[in-house]
Amino acid sequence: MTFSLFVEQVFNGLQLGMLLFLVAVGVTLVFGVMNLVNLSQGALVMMGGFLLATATKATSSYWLGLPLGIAALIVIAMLIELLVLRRLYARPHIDQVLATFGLMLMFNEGAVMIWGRDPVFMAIPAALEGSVTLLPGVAYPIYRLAVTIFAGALGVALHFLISRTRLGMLIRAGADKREMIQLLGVDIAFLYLMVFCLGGVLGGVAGMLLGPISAVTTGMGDPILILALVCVVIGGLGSVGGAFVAAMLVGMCDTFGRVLLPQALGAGTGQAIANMIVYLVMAAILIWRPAGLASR
Amino acid sequence: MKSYLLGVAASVALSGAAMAQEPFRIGFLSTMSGVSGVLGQDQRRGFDLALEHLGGKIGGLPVQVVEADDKFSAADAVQQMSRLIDREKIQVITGLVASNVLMAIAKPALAKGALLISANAGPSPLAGPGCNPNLFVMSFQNDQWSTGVGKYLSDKGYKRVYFMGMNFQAGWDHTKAAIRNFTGEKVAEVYTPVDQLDFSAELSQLRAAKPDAVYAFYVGGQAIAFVKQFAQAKLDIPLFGGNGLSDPTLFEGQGDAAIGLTLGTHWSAALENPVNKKFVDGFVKAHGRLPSETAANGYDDVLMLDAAVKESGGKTTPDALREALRKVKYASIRGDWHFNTNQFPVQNIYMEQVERKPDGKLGLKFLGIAAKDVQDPYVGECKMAK
Repeated sequence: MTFSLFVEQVFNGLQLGMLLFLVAVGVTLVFGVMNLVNLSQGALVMMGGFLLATATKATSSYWLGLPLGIAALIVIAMLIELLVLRRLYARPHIDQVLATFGLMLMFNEGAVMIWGRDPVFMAIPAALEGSVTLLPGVAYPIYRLAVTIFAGALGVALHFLISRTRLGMLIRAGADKREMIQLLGVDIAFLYLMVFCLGGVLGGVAGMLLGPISAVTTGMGDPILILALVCVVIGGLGSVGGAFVAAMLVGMCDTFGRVLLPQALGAGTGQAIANMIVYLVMAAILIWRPAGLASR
Repeated sequence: MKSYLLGVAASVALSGAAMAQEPFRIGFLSTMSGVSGVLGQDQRRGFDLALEHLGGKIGGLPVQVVEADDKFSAADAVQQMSRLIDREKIQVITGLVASNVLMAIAKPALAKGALLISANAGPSPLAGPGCNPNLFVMSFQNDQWSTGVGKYLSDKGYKRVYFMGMNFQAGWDHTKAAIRNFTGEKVAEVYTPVDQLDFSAELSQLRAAKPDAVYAFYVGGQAIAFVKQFAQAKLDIPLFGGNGLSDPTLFEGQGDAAIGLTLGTHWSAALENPVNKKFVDGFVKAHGRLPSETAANGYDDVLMLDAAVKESGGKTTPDALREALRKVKYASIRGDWHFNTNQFPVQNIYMEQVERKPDGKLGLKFLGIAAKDVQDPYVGECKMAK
């Protein structure tokens, strides 16, 4: 592998990792603060894609569609929390898995009813078309670079939110001692609503960023949810920092596994192992640290 | 449902004159929901349009269509197959858009003595040692499109070609057939998981390898993602594939990224024959866009069944239909074709290219015949073959 190809693949890995982080952080926050297993995150990823595509089409502008789509996402995330999740906090994890999995199926079929089965088109916004030269001979699509930077900026903002603000303090407190902050008179219902909205919107934004690259179609969130769950488990359930490290690790392992393993082991075996590599890494880390990277 | 009602209406209308005329019961088992649901849905649109054009009858018999959804899942397909045969007492199972589904139900369904007619899937194992007297594939064998594409790439003088496909039965069949029929250098042969989101790593490798052309096998949502990312990577390398890489159901999702794709196919909307014209015009009128290849197979399937039932003199038992299908002759939307000894088609493979039409919409330009009378390479391994 030449140096320039290596650099290009590092950027590819970063971009995949960032998208996974946005999806994973929603799942892990909700688990950390509310002790709720949330599989409906995949549905929010898909809704992000559909909402942005629709809002962009309606306003004929990506930059108008973006805030509209995010506003719609907030409403949907609130409705999910108020109507469904609120009833699940006190119930065992298996009930939560079943209910949120059910939500995912309902959203997938609901999208078919609203948008039909033919995929919806979403283009790269004109300002982000084309490519930039990172190094001599390495042309990298601007849109992919923008996705990485935007997702990275969201990650930094999230870090400040959690470590420097009152809401962040409550989130951290909630993750540590849920009963204690309830006793201190914090409006726990409102806190939960905020946390779920935050996580859901980040997942939806991942879907929005993914839209122009991938197909905006029913079930588009399902495969990314599986990888995001891997990140959540590797990172340690409930840990935002752990999810970030895990997402980067998964992004890099997946990208370089797909490139290097077929070269090292031959096309057949190499590709077979490349498809497993993320799960092999997960297994290895769980043997080393059964509760994930962030476990204490 | 519409054709079911048509069938019922027809049988009610006839009940005075022809009480004895039992309806022809067809099980339509296909992928109607989920990510690949668009394939079965369009197939059914073609199927229903043909029934409408035939006045709701097949071979003069009233028709009852029982629809079953396999959800692209082998387990669901086997359950639905049992329901169709044991409970619904259908006389033939058709539809069958997905190779993995056909592979899963073929053995148990044939063991029950059912007659299977695939109107899309054509997996290689069933063309070779797994061939069966009660299994007909009227669409294509998976290798056929790419046999044409491989020959076309060689004829056009491409020297170094990069091959990519989805990692499952149809992906292997298509991609390997393109490689077998290409005389130049294979730069690489890469298979990606069926649910891969992002092809950036593969596209970076591809760019570094500097091939003259790329062959890719992707379908459905994967085809949209791959074609868009390929275009976004601005590789300036021509992209070839089978009909599934882009078709009128994908145009909306792929947008301009599809322009210039060169595709091998057993049927094209641009084929000039009166039956095809009637089909394409009727479809455009009903659904506002060109039919896809699965819609074409659904339509042609009904035309073939119509001829077969006429040939059998109105008998619809598996034995009678089988004998009739072996001899069947009809005016097909894809011109002349016939069943080989393994009961898969022998047919021409055409090339077409996605272009922007004067009305601003995406359409297909007919490029001509890539290979004449293509048969699949597995027919020799079929024990029925003499």
